[in-house]
Amino acid sequence: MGYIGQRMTRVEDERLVTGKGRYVSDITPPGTLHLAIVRSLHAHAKITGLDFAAAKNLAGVVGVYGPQDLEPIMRRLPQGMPDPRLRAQMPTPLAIDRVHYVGEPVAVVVAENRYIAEDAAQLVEVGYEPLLPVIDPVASEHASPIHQGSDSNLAAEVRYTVGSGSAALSAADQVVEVTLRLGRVVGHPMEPRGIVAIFDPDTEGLLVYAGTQGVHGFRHSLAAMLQMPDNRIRVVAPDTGGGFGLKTRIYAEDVLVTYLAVQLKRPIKWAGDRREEFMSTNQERDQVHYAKIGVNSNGQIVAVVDHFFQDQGAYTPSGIIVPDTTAICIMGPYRVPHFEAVGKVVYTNKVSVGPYRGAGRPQGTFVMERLLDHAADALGMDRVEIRRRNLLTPDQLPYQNGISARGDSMTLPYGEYQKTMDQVVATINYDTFRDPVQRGDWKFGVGVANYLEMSGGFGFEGAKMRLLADGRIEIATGSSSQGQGHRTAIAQVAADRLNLPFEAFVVVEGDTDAIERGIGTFGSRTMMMTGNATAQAASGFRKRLLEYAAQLFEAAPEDLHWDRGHITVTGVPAHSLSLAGLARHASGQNVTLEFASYFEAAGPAFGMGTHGVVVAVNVKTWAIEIRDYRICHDGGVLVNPLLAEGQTIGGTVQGIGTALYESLIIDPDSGQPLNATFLDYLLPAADEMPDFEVTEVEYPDPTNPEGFKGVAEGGVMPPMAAICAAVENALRPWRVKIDTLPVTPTDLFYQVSRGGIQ
Amino acid sequence: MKPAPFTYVRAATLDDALLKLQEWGEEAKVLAGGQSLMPLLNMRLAQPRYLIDVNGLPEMTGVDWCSETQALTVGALTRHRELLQHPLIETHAPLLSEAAQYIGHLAIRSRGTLGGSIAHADPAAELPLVLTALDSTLIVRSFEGEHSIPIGDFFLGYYMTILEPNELITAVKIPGLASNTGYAISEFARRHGDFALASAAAVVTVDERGTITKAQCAAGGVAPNAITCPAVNDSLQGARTLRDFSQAAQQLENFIDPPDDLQASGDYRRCLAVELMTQAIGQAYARAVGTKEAWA
Amino acid sequence: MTVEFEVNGRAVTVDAPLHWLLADVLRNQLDLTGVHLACEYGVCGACTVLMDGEPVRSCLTLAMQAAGHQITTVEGLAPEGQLNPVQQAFINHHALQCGFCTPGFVVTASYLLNQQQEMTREQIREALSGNLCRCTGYQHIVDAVEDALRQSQAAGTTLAKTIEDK
Repeated sequence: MGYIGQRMTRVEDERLVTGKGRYVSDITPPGTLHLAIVRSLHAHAKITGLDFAAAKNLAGVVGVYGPQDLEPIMRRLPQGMPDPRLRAQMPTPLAIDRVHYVGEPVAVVVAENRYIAEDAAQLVEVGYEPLLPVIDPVASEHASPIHQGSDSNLAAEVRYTVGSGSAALSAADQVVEVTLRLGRVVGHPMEPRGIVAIFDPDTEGLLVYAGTQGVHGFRHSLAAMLQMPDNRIRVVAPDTGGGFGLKTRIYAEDVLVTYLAVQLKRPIKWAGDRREEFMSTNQERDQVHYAKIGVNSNGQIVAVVDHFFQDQGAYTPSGIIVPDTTAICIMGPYRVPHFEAVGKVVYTNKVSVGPYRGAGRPQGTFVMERLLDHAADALGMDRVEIRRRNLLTPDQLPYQNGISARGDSMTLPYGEYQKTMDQVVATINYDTFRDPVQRGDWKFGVGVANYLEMSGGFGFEGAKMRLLADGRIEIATGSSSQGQGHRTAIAQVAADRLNLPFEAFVVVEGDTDAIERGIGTFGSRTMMMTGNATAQAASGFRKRLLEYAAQLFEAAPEDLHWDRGHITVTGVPAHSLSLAGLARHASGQNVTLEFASYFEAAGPAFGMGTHGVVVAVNVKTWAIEIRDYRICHDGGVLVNPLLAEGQTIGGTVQGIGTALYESLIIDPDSGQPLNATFLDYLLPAADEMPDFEVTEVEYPDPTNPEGFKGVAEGGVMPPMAAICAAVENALRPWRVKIDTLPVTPTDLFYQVSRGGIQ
Repeated sequence: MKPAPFTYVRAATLDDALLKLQEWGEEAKVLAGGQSLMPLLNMRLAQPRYLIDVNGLPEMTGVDWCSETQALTVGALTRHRELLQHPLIETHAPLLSEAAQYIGHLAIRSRGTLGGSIAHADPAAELPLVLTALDSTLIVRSFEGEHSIPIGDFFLGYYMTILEPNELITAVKIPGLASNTGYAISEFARRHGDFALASAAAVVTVDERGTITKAQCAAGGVAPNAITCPAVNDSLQGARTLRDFSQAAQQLENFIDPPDDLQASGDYRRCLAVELMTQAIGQAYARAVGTKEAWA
Repeated sequence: MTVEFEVNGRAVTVDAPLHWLLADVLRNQLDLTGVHLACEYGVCGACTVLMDGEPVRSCLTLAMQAAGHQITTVEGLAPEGQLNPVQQAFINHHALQCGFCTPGFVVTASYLLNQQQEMTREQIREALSGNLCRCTGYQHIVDAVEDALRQSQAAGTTLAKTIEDK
């Protein structure tokens, strides 16, 4: 029986369900000091003075530091994903002279425990001279620059043109224009960011525990900031309580903690709390789109044009990956002969934008799917029908959509896009709900949205197999799990490729000591990258073991056979060794039996799928409830369908959050976040979420040998568009248009009062 | 997010608690269930010098029914979970049980207390709302003695009450449910368990023809505190149809002017309150009529 | 100041400042790091423990308030390495991903199990609505709790029948 394709439960779980998980905040070496950050109270201000006297006098305080005290690290954090189009702005670990968002680190306190550290932080006096904040992204372009020495708030412009771009609109029978707004979404892994650093003065080595999505990149950035060679730093990502893209790069706190650990020669810990998560961790979405679609009277797309603003916040920690991905994901699984996307990335006095689950994919999908709905309405055509007329058909695949992103032209592989849509349309009872259905005060509506999930496809990832003394095989890799279940899934791949039981493998991740190089886990890349690296390593590793055994048996490698962990000389059953036996021999002869292989991607994988949702809207209270939700999703060859389903549902619920609940509201005058607690910023909860019916289809990816695709971001892409469509459909008599996220009862109330009851 | 230092004392007796309150006044906070106070402490929005823990004080605990006065006395430390399950409350003040199920979540209901919710005076909280509709009386103690405050006089606005710093709510007196009387609470929040965007409670009594003879309605989340609605009550005199109820509830519209906030606009809230009031009256009426029939 | 209480069946005496939260004392002094802090104002439920058998937020409880009470954390649900039915069901149904919220869910669900009441899926969702999870989308958690409840009811019925037969 093969392991790939089995719904196996996870090897990770027994520890986690019994409370034995070890997250960064659980790690407190003896003698640990605790750090608290003094954060800016203003969105934009000059710092006129720092007074630490009262804070320093508090019992239990070890030190209070401002930028002058930490001069050796007061350089700009390294730019993530540098891009020639970007006029980058990166922060120093503590703000020098000026603050650019509410929450920016201004000073730092080190104390015997977190309670005292917070008491002291409260006693730090910071003098501010408030400056006018820039909050509105559209006005920002021509507003006074927020960064000194800069002549504009325009950080970058991303631009893509296919065919004749916007000029082609004039050839369309009908042009529909729509303004779409997405709220500012805070990613909120349940474990806030945190870091523990332990410096050993004897070896001058720095051991760092950090919940990062990529230990090697994290180490390299830290090394640059601390001016230390990479090899003196070991970064370990222990159990990590969710990442979703937010934990890919170093933040100011990481530099402060590690530097002070070296200086004070004591372990230092910063366990960020939820307030800090709201005020300092990268945020996302927050775009305004002015989009147009030109269609022929038969519904065929002539051109799609989207001009949008990305509210970037104060800095560019991950470059322009979010607006760039937004632009290239708009076309989705459709044939769009002419296309233009122009995204202006603008600085504002808010927390920086960086990738959060989807990293632009959901935004692009939202634009295209909303345009199709509006176009269908304008033509008096059914909303599914217009999709059917524009989806790429199998005979058109593979298809180059004309977007040349990150060096390569995007090539969409074979798939049957209409099939996933047909499946969802049938199971969601689209035909029943398409015409408004009412039960009591509840009106029902249905929405359908398609997506093309771009995953993996850049850089490399490795797998290093090593025979352990007990005969098991360790697989070390540079990816790292924040809940994905890699230890289970990677072992499934290895077990199949080495024809060994699943239990024979131990997967080690998230440790710079475990493997020389690695990139990490984001962009839904791990199964595609590490999965293929594992398969590649398996064949090299088997060869290595056979060669070694051949020496022992004084036989030719081709005369040996490999049978479930035993290597036997063909025809000589007595000449047989278990892997444990082989390990013993190797150890005696001072030989390490290992093999590493690094897989390099040829390009991204593309999965596809459809979501269909039935919502009910109460016409008295304007409550919005999800009553049915169907998903058909192509995740390529699925290593573990149970885990893939978990990723799909989890992503979908995050998409529903963006659609119905989540938006950080920033005061337009002061720049203060107004709902920065879980009491006011609403995460989806168990009671409101529906049960999802997920159907997986598997079209192997042609660009990698195993046919794997990423599955973590498909779920989050279409819910916004599908839900908007369904709410509009439910309220069709009032001609409600839902183009601002999140959709709230208040919005519906106003739209209906304006439209009047018909 | 850790609380600033304070001195914690566990009151040994009610007199002990009152003595300390007398001495420390505004520098002290009373800790009951802690489900509203502790978040404020952890966020450092409140930094009292003293915390007086009154949990377990027998004078503030227990539920009693007095058949003579036909009144239920519920100790201030009665937890929300007990409100849901206590047989005397279910019998004589079932609206209180019904309201408790809307409060927060399981673990919040394990600890949160009746007195704590009243003293915290959140304008959207369920218990102040239904106690207002039930015309309850608060029993308040200080070092100087005990007195009663009708709940209608108790709230002064957002999180403000007439409670003096040296006073404690020890119990709530609720008139027992009269015959031919129905009750209901209706509320709406974007997520279950959150504070309501608006809420309404109604207690109505009908005569043998099914005509409303007495109504006590209250609205929550749409004013600085839970409010009674005399105009609605008056309008319900003689009401018996859904149309009557809806018209009565409409009276609320001119009576409230809720502000916009992060979760909803004031205009929407006003309409929502009217709708919820209509629903609450309707359900209360159905129960009143049902009660009558059951006794017939 | 010292405070004495019982944790997972074991009597403990802890010395802690008066204003420390029970969650911090459990985590830092008693090394029960399965108690997680994710909001510290009572909304997310990651720090949920049982106090005298009832679920409470340990971030909204002072350590001093534990005096004389019995506290059960997630570590106490599998005392001799024998998984609680809820824990096993969470594994079987892939009801966790990052696992950070999981102890809070498992503790809440174990309380539901102890109540020995039949619950519909909707009631389970309501009972879990005070625990936030960002990874799973809740469905597999509801599956797990439903399954654990069903199994414990079946076991309870069997037990009752055995006693009856005797």
